[in-house]
Order: sequence, then structure tokens, then C-alpha cells
Amino acid sequence: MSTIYLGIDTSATASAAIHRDGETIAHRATASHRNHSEVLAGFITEVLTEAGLDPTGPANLDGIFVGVGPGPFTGLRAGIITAQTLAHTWQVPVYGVLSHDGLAHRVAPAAFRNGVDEFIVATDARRKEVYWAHYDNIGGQPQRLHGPFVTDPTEVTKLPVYGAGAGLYPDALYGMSGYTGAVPDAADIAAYGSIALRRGRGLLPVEPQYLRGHDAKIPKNLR
Amino acid sequence: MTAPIVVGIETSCDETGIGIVAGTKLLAHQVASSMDEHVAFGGVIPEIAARAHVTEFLPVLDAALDQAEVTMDDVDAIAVTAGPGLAGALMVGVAGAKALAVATGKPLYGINHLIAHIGVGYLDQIGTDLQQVNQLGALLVSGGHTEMLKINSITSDVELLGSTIDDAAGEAYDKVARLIGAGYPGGPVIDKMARDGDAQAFRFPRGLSAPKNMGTPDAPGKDRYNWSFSGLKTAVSRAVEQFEVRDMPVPAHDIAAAFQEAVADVITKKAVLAATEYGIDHILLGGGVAANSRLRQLLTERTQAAGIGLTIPPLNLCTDNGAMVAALGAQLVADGVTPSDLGFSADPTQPVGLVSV
Ligand SMILES: [Zn+2]
Repeated sequence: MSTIYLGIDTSATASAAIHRDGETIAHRATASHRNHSEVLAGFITEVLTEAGLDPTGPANLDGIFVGVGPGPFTGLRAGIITAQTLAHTWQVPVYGVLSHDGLAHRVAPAAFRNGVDEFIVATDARRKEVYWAHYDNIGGQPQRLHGPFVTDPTEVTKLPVYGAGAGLYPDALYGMSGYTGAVPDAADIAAYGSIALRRGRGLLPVEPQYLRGHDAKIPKNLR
Repeated sequence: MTAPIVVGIETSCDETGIGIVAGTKLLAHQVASSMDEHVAFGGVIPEIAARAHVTEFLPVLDAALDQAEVTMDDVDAIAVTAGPGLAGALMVGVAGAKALAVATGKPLYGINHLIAHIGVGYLDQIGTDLQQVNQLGALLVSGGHTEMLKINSITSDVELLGSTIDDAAGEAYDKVARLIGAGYPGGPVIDKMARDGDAQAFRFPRGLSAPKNMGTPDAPGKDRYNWSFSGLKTAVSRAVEQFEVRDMPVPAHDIAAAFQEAVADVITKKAVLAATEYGIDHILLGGGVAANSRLRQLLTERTQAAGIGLTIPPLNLCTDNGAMVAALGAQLVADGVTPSDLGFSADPTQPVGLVSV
């Protein structure tokens, strides 16, 4: 039986994709890290239309997978509130995917061919830190062992690193050639999500993975 | 066309507000506030507000649809606050509203928060027919804004006559409340303390009221209709300090009363002056500080003395809410204004001249 999913990720850049029977059949992404709430609605309309689905009532759509981060908060929230609202209005299920799991899913087959048994996915967390997670690689299928974390790049477990975090901190992280600018993407989120859904594990609640508090301090004279 | 049904979404600060109107009839008005989470900090923490909007958005939307007894199918248009406001907070409402527009195919209006405070005045239940007013003006006073506006057309032409050049009035209340240990939010606590205080005990400064700021009607000074509350705040702070260094008890009630008197005096004086000089014959008051008893009293007295009409909406429509966004949206639909392109940005500093994007 045919399955169709919409994928959304705004944990770094903004992207949307339609995934049908294991294949990405429509995809939009921006290279910008700053305009998620401007471009996302247009991307979603475009990928749905390209896949032959009606955006105002996509019959046949089986569900939505959304990257829940970690990632810079404002952009991340744009994707999550979008996915929640679409699912609510269309009355289809929505599932959270750790954005790093999506990227791990993309890189794991190549890592396996290169003999990489364990690896790190690391992305930009700003403030001189990275968001990262540690994966086991079982025949090209990633299995998250630890994380996600947000730390100084020097505190990341010493393993080959995939993702834009490696490009930003080449002294601290051992970046894998060809992947030092990679960011999570909706196509991977949908691909990983549909496998996780079949297996019945690996999905998350549709809530932002902030990892950091809100940083606000109670003023002295109110303590 | 029959009265357009419009859903209005407001997330510019700490309230997740969603309202529904049919033309000028209010059908639903739901607000979830993260206020309690900000109290410990003595002010709104933007990140806390933005996080709360994500959690509250859909529950508040459902509550509003239930209350209005409509479904999204019945809705003609969606309106959302595009700015001004807190960037991260605005973004949640804008992204949610766009998703709603995509999923339903309904037109979306990204609207100006300040003008929405005026738009609420057009609802039937406010009891004033603002369409009959000759020249409408609006005074907006809250934790985020202090503005005097001239409304030539609610959907296309609003002029800024004066505004604060530093803190908003509500912010000044919060800061002074902190100085005298009164709690948060400052507006209600100071208003309450002021009742037991002597407003004449101190004479605190009325900012930007010197002749050089004011000029004359023929040669108005640059700040003739503008406000500044930073000098007032400093004066209060120094007064408190002077008692403290002498180990004397701080007369908090008198300070609260005198501070409140200074704020209400300078706000109403300049608002009525601007109204008089711009031919405004009716003022709509908006914003949370509309709850302030002294501001209401002085504004009522002074508008009456100047022969100017005054409308003060019920308080739950003065504070930030979605009904006001829906009310303005319905005016835009009725006037045939083109909906926003879905690529619009939330604009934390959206100028009042831009009613919808
Ligand atoms: Zn407001």
C-alpha cells in the first residue's frame, strides 16, 4: 500500500519535502538560517502541489514528520507550530523526529562504506557551542547511543563528525570530508520518520528540543 | 457579502490571544497568558513568552472555535499580528497563522498590533459607533507602547502624533514598582498603593514638558506630543535612595501616588493637547494601562473639559487579545484590502503607518 508523508525541518535552514513509498518526490529548502517563517508556508504549498496533493485537504496524506531540533529556538518553533497546525487542521497524525537522527540517517550509509562504525552528528548551536549526538552505525543504519547535547566543541566525543558543526570548529572536531556543511533536512526527517514509524520506535513528541533554559535571571532586588 | 467571519491571532507579547468576529459582532475571545511565569523576573521574558505560545496556540484556537460555534470551514479570513512586538513571540503566531491559511486556503492578513488596539473599538459591544465620529484619535498605553494616533482610515491611514521616546508607560510602572518593592506587574500594584498615598507629597517631573520641548501651536517643538519616562523613573529612584541613606522608612504609598499622578498627568495633558490641535473630537483608549484608575479619571475630566468624546473598551479588550486582531481583520475584509502574501515577515518594529502587510 502506498504511503505519503510531508516532512518539515527548521532546525538549521528551512525545508519541506514529500516522501512517497521510500522516495522523496518533491523538495524545497533554503540556504538561509534566518527566514524560516517567511519561506516555509510557500514551500509546503509548492511540495504538496508538485506531488499532486491539494494543500487545503490533502486526501491520501498519511501524516507529517517534523524535525524537533535541537536548533536555534526561533526558527525551530516556526517548523513545529507549522506542523502542529497543519496536522490539526487536516486531521492527520504528526510525529517528532530528532533533527540529528534525520541527518544521521542520511550520512550513515556513506559512513558505513568508509568503515566508520561510530560517529557524531554536530550542528551549530551559536554561542560557540554545538548541538550533537553520538551514533552507532549498524550496517549503514544509525542507532543513537547518546545525546542530544549542547556543549563546547572540545567536549564532543572524539569520533568522526558529520554536520556543519565540524565545518565551524575544524580544530576541535574531526569533520568528514563532504559533510562539514551538512544540516538537517526535511527529506531525511521524512525518510527516517517513516522507517521509525514502521519499526515502532525512534519517534519523539512534537515539542522543541530546547536543551537550554531561557537564561532569564531573577533580578537582585526581587530575590 | 454578509458579515465576514474572521479569526484573529495575537502573540506579540505574553498573551496567546485568539478571537473570532462576524463583522463587528464578537463571537469568541480566548486568551492564555504566561504572565505568572514572568512575575519572578519583574518583567516579560521574551523566551518564556515564545515557548508558551507554542504550547497554547492550538488549545486557544480550539477554545475560540468552540465558543464561536464555528469551524474553520465557516471562516472567511484569518488575521495575525505581524508587529510590532517581541520577535520570537510574533514569529510563533505568524508561522501558526500561515499554516492555518495554507491548510484551509483562507486569505491571511498580517496586521499591525497598535492599529488592532483601535480596531477593537469598532465592535458592537463597545457601544460607540466610531463610524459616526468626525475625527477619531486613539491613545494607547501599555507595557509595550505609549502612542497618540490620528485615525484617518482604520484600514489604510493612521498617523502617529506622539509616542514615548524611551520606556513605555507600563514599563515605567514595572520599574518603579520594583524600586519601591511593590511587586509585578507594576500597574495594578501601584494603582492600589496610590489610593492610600498623597499624590502631592512629591512633585515628580513631567518629561518633555519644558517650553523648548513644547514650542507653540504655530511652531511646535519636536517633542510637543511625545513622552519620556526615564527622567521620572530616575527621580523616583533618587527619592527612594534619599530615604534609604538616612535609614528612614520609604513612604512607598506616597511615592506610588505621586508617580502615578505624574504619569497620568503628562499622558492625558499631551493626548488632549494633540487631539485639540489636530481636530480630533473623539478618543479611543487602548492598552493594559487603560485599567489605571487615575489615568481613566484624568482623561475623562480633561476630554470632557475640551469637548472631546471618550471611549474606553472593557478592560479584557484593552489588554492584548485576539478579538482586536479579528476586529481589524474584519474591517480590512470589508474595505476590500488585498490579503498578505504568505511570504511576509514578522516585524518587531512595524510602523503604525503600515496597517496590514
Ligand atoms: Zn498591545
